[in-house]
Amino acid sequence: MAVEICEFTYDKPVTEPYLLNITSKVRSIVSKSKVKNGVAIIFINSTTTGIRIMKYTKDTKAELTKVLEVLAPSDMEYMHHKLAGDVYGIGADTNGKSHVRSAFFGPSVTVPIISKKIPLGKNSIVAMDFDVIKRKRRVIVQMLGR
Amino acid sequence: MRIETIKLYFEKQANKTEVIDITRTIEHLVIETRIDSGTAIIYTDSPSAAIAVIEYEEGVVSDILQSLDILATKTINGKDRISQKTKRPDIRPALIGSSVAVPFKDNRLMIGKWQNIVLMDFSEKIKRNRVMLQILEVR
Repeated sequence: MAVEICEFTYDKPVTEPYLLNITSKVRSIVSKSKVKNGVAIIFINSTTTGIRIMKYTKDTKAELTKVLEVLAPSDMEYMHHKLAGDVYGIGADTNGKSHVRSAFFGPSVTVPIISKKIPLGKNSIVAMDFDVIKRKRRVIVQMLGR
Repeated sequence: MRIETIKLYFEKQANKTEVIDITRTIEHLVIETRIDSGTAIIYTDSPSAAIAVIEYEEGVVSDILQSLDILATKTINGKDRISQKTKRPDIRPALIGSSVAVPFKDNRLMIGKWQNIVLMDFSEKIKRNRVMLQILEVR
């Protein structure tokens, strides 16, 4: 049995939400690993991102963007703005909505690896970036199995 | 393959929603196993609780709870939600989730600087919640 950890990075532009299809990157990592059957955990170590498996089309992205606005609107007052701005010395921290969105979508997904492939059907693995500035992100892919 | 399962019990102190940071507890338990690489699964079977990974800052916690209140309790088309009428346990735990899987390497959780693992309980009573930490080592 084996455990392997691979990482890759992506650059988030200033647009938000930034919904990035990372399926081909993850598939490439899995195909090169020693694990033939097992699980892959895809984890992002940030508190303003999420990750989910979903259909990745112009329509689903647009719908998700609308839902995110209902979940944590851009024009709402956030306690994080009031309390954390001075603590971190960066003035008003305006990513209160980003933290709320991240809490709902979570830092990881777990998918099976079957004969070196990830069964996704018509879905994609989507990294969801909710922050309000440019960021450099690290995505960790851990594969367990034999 | 080695699997270690540790049961943890957290006593809720107040009879209202409570969010506690359990990151240090989980980190120390992973270190104690001396396992180099693997996965830590943090799971709760409590019906009123959820496990989340957030920045454990007072404002962030307050903002998340406010969003949950809006989602889980607002009316639909002018009619009360069923949970409001029947006073049954609500759906907030299901919106956040009951587990997270965190990879670890060199005996350390691969969490970011601002990530904290938290236990959120939405019930209005003092109770005890069970959290299970399952550590998978694959050699």
